[in-house]
Amino acid sequence: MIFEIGIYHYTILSAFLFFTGVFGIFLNRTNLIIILMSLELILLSVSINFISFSVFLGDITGQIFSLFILTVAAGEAAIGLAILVVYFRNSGNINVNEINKMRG
Amino acid sequence: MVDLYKSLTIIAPELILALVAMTLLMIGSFYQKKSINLIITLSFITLIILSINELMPYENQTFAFNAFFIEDKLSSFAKFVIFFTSSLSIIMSANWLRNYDKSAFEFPVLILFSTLGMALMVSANDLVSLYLAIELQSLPLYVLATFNRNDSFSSESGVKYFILGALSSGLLLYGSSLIYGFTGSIFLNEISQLIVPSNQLGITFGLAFLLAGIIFKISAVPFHMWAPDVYQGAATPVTSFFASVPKMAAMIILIRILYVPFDNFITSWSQIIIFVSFSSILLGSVVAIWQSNIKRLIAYSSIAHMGFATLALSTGNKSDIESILIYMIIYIVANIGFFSCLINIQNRTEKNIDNISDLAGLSVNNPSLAISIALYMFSFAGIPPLAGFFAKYYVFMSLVNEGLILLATFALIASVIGAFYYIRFVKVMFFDDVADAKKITFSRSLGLINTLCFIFIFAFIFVQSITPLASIINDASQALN
Repeated sequence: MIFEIGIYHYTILSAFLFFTGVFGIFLNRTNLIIILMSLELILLSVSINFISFSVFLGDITGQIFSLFILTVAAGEAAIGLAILVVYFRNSGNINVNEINKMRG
Repeated sequence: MVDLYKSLTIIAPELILALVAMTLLMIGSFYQKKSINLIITLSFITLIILSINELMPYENQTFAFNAFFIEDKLSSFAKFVIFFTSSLSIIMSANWLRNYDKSAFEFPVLILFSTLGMALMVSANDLVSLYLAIELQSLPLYVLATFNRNDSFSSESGVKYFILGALSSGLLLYGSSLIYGFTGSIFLNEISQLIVPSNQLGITFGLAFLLAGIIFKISAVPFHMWAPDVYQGAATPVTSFFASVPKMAAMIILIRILYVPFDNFITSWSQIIIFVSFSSILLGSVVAIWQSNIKRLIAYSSIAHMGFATLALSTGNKSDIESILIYMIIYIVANIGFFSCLINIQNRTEKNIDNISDLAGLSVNNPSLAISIALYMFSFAGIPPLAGFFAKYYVFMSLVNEGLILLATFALIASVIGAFYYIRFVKVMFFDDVADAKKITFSRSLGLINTLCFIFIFAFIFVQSITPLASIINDASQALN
């Protein structure tokens, strides 16, 4: 018996990766770099979604969309790291727990 | 080739803005400190010319680049507001920027790039251009929030804004992928015809994620938590930009998303919108009572105002777009006016003006500043002859016309609660003891901006009757019919 991989498997995989990314942002209490990795994971899971939908719909648009997502992800990572460096210069650490100067 | 030429003429204002921004970036990096005045002036002039250009009459609805880009009355009205308000923001930040760092020429350039993103956002007609425009709008905003880079508050606000903003873009993107997968199209005007009942659940999920991304951009509850921190931490001219322009762009795209592709889904999304506006008004009005920081309080007030604006959206009736647009205009003008006063006070005093109590005795030091701030506060609270009253009046009227009287009553009670903290400003400025008597004068540009906003807020009916504002707003609100 050949196990056939269908659209549902891809959708479930991408949903799993997406929610791993979202929980990675909210449950992580140690390091800002891990949050940046979770953001990348979210964007890549969406890319998987787009590509699999595009293949199963027989429509090229989704694949083009995923190329745009890759470029934007690169730009976003660059800006995120730049902001992280600025933050590190001022505070001397990148602990998520200590980002609490402003409250209320 | 004819088609390409036509598309390029339609998109010309955005192209010009992009070219000017890149040219100014080059000028800035070659001439450094010498170029700051030139860059501020040129970016201001470009934005003013482009905003006037948007008022020119033209065809009703045109598409460019195979319907990736739409130009209609709604988008051109939004672009007029966006360009004009951005140009005011650049002028308002000029004095602060010269004091802060003469080599920081990036500031106007970043505002230009963000404005370009917002202009593309309001005329996006498919999910790709919507996503790219939202990213082009938010990436410069992350940098602007961190702009005061030796200040730990500013960098912390930048980190928070970046993380939550990127997360919201991810939510928006996941929603678009679901909508693409279940309808097979990314064009906003095609999606409504491609919805079949068997896919309804998937599309509703997609719509919910898409809405979460956009609601983050207008900072309404439940995605409001970034706003108070970012407003407080960012430099005051940056806060004034955050509080005014991006809200307009996000509100327009929210209207477009709800009324163009998901016109038949009103029962699903009106529940979400009622929840969002209800909880924004409640949270914005109540939590602000305990705030002592001025900018933090303005953040909560903006959350409440976004709640009022989305309230008119919850009726699901296209004719209520007009009251949303009027609300946004009045909100933006009052915000710009208030921040022109606040920036002026901060530029002209030695000590930090962060808390409301620091404004004590302003009525002695500069009566005109105190009267202006009092007027904007009364307008925010919705006291009758001022513009803020009419903004709320139109929203309540559209609710009552749809029979949502319970919601209108609740919003009315919440706006009375909100009046408490607005009037506290007036009490502190006029009746508290003077800490140190020191005259504060208006700088020329900020004084001019303040005067214009003052006239608009004070004599809104008069302004509405002598300018074509009412007919422009009416045209814009008819665009989606």
